[in-house]
Amino acid sequence: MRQPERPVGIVGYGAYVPRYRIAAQEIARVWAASEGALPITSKSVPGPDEDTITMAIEAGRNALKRAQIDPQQLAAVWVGSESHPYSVKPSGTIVAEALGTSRWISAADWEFACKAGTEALSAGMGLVGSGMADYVLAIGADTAQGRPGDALEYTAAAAAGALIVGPAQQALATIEATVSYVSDTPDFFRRADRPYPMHGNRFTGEPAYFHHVSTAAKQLLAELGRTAADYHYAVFHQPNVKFPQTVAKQVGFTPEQCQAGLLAGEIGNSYSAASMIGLCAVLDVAQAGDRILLASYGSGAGSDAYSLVVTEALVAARNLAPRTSAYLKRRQLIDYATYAKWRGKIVE
Amino acid sequence: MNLPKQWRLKGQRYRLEGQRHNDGRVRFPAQPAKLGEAQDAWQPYQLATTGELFSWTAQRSNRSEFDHEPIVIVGIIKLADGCLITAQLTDCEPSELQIGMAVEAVTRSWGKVGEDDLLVYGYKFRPQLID
Repeated sequence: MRQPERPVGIVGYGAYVPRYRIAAQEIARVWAASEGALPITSKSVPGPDEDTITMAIEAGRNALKRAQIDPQQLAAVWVGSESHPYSVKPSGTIVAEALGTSRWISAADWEFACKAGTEALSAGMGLVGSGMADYVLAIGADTAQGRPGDALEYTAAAAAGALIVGPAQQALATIEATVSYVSDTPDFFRRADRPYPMHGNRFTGEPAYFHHVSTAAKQLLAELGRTAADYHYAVFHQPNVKFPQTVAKQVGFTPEQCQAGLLAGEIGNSYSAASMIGLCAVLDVAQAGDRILLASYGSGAGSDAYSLVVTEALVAARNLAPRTSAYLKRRQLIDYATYAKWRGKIVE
Repeated sequence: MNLPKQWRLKGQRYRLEGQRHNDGRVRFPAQPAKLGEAQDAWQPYQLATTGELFSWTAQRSNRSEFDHEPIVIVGIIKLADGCLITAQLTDCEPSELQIGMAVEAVTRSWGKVGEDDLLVYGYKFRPQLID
């Protein structure tokens, strides 16, 4: 378990979800899938002028509004994603420039499949917790890829979540402690020259997602001397609806504790953003004193788990930027042809 | 591709950076001081990022770089600080637009430049998000 010498917390948070959705039923219609249960209802689709950078910018602006700090006070802008628009050129510098930060910052891109964003969050805890900086912006953003007709295509979605780490005295939610648990597990990967990732079907479950997430979450609870009953909310990485519900049960959480932060049914798997916007949705409704467990998952594989406690400052700050529900409400369904065109699935 | 030009314009594109004169006039985009003009007469000024739709039109016959968007909507926005700005509208259909409706600035892709695809980002406006 890691705890910084200087107590830290989330001083600002912001979500972003694109306006467009495609229904899982529409994907099933095109690919003549079986009539079995679909993993989600619909997934978010980036508009034709959106990518990881534009979504990260909007989530970052929302986080800055809630933190009520000048962008010039940020010491780092870190963007975690597996869909950075450039292979060589940082997303972080573009996001930082758009936010209006100082040029005397660290701006970098992080990669660890779906937990690239929480890797940046943990590093931010280190930078602020050591006293080297006061504010670090950690963003998880993705426009995930899925091969046409593949199981991934039903869920691979788009969104961004931004968290500003700062001193605990100014926090909307303090971070009590974190653990990270990793192993070399090839459940999902994509080489640089391949357009779509490869996944191991059922192998992505038990030895990958469930093992890493449950191990990290249970370890954190054990080291803090707590049980799931001590928490009001739990947010798990959500590649679909079933996985987080199952792992929550394994760790001892009830469906009610997970409901506020479980967005996958409506927007799909937003990869690096998934657990972070789940936390944003919880912060939109939580009250002072509420305890939150957050556990991300990244293929390859690993999980970062955090224990947070909401402070009195949250209620006033949450109205300073659009809540996650505002993005979920502006839902515009598109058909498969439009989706295929926008996502570059039509080859000339 | 003209990399220096793309680099030079990022302040106005990313953050709506213009200039305000000592006498209160605002201009966008920023320009160098004219001959005989005091170097500090125009100071950096960020335009308001919210406003109302002053006018708009939908273009249905566009250049090839817009072929992913069959309809391109261009609007004139009256910003909260009184400035008028022309910009593309996004996240909307023509049927959703009304003169006077609240809009807000976002940063979106403006497209790709050159055969190696330099990505260009800039301001657009969308109907204000309702919380």
